[in-house]
Amino acid sequence: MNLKQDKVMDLTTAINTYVKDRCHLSLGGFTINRNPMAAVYEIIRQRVKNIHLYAHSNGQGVDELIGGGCVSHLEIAYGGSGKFASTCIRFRKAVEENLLQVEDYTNYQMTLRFLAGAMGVPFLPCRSSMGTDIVNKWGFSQEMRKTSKKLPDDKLTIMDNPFSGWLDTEKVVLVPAIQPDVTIVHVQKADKRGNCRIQGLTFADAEQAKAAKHLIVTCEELYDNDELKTDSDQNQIPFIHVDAVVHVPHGAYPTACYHHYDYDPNYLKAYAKKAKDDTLHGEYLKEMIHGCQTQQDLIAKTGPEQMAAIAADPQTGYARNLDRK
Amino acid sequence: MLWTGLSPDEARTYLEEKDKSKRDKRMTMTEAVKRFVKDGDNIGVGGFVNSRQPVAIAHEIIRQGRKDLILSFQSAGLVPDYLLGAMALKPDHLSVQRMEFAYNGHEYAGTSSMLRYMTENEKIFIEDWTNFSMSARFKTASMGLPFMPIRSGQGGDIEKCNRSQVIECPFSKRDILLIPACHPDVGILHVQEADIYGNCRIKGQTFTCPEIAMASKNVIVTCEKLVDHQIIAMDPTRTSIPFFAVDAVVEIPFGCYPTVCHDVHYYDKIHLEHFKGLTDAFRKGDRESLAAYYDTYIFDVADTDEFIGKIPYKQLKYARQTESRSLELQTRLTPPAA
Repeated sequence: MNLKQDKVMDLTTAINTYVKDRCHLSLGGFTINRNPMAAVYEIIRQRVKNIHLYAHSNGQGVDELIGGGCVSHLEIAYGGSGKFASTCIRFRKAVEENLLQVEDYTNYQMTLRFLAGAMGVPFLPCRSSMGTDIVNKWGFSQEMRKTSKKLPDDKLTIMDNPFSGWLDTEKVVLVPAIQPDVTIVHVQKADKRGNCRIQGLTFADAEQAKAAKHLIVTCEELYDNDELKTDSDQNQIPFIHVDAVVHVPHGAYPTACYHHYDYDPNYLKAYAKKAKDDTLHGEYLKEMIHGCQTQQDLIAKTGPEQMAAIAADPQTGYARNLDRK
Repeated sequence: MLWTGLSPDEARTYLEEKDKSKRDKRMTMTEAVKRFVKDGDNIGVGGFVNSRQPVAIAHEIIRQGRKDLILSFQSAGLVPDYLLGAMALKPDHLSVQRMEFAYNGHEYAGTSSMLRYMTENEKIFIEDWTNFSMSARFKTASMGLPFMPIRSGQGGDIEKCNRSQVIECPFSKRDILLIPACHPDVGILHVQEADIYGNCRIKGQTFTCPEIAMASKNVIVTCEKLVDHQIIAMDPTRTSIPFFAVDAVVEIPFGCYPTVCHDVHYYDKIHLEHFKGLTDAFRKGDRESLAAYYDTYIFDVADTDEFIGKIPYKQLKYARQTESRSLELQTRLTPPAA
């Protein structure tokens, strides 16, 4: 429990302090919504290697981190970036080229696993996946699992329900908790000690945050400690879980941040095109990621006109009249 | 396995077939209780100790009378006390057979005298759970799961006197406690705001109200005020309970009085301590004073309008002022005399 009252730091320091080679990392957000992209780009710039990554349905963040050469293992339900890449492109390539080991769960199971981690219990029960290859086929072998202290020996296990049957079955599927070394989430509002207020869908962010040993929060707006005390029932992540608060406006760009900006269809379309080709992708990494020092450099490359086009309408929280093709 | 209320299978079947349409669910309190509270029902009580206790609903249940009720809650004060008090006074009119809970009392004012009376005289069966395990039981049911593992309660006597089970965790290879879901037949809740369809906004602590709502077969909600659906729709992330979980919406300002309703009114120390004192006296042999209270405030009134009508205005005013003013302004208030 980190009770410091001021955890504000710059992104370089935050990533350098908590995101290490071979660490177990979970990324917040969902497909092309509120991915902690600025943090993802900084991890790529710092050339962190062999990350064991967790997400439930994450798109752009996962794909760019894999494309950046940072990830060796991935536990996920779905990786896709909306219509721009219904299956993440670099993710798919890495699997096809055997550069990445993947463990497959259902969406519901991944959220249950984060919830179990957040609650401090070793597993949660469900019926999801019974009778499917999610149960029968394992991405990580038991031998491989036994070599890691951070992984459970079993992907999941099926148990007799001790409280009698459940919906025509005597069995339940138990999925193990995830307790990552570090979680990174991007939120709309945070205060200096780390209380977070997420607007719109929270996805599994609060569970991922509470499950992790360390938590890095990037935020659109940074507040003094007293300000988020008003309507404190709107804060989903209490400061005790947070280790670093980084003020990064547009920190989810090019993914959407409800009530701040929409996703950038131009960027995601251009990315998808480049991601399909190793040479073009190499150029993309060099120019857009390593060629920028901060998220603000990337925003500058996009330019004020496009940033205005994706700016959120205050009424609806997303961009109206945005050409999403 | 004994399931009080619905078993997970029954809850699932019921939920599949339930009318989940968005329709106007306003009705009178009399009708709501008549339709949704039956003899033998397991009632999930919302709120927490002296906060947002569904007092108006409890009073109506007492007026109508029900038999063999089961009460499930995490920590509650007034609602179980009112129901147990009614049973103590008129056992042929209202009775509670069983309670599944962690704590029944009034914090600073002490544990419930009615609970002590009932248990000391072996009039009800109680199943003892930790606070967290009751919350987890509602959470489990709200998620549609049959059980959930928890750490709380292990090694204590609690695990010996309830339906939890210890297993060896297949992952950690250590013992872990499994607690069964709790699906009440009816959840009773008081919230700050609701629309006519049953979408509820709870301000401040939600306690286990959203979990009870999602876990229960039927749900009666009283609200401080009805708000336009447009207001709910404009900021849907503030909706604590979705409409499809709710069956009856009754607008009753002061519906949880004399307990706290965050952002609306604080608890009324005078009335709460008055009632608590009468239950203490009942346990020591004074039946008449408590009976007089029930006649005055519950049996001889038609509804919450008439109940609140009997409370001195200065007490209601002070309860409102102490909740809505800043601490600095509060220190300038003079509390009303009892």
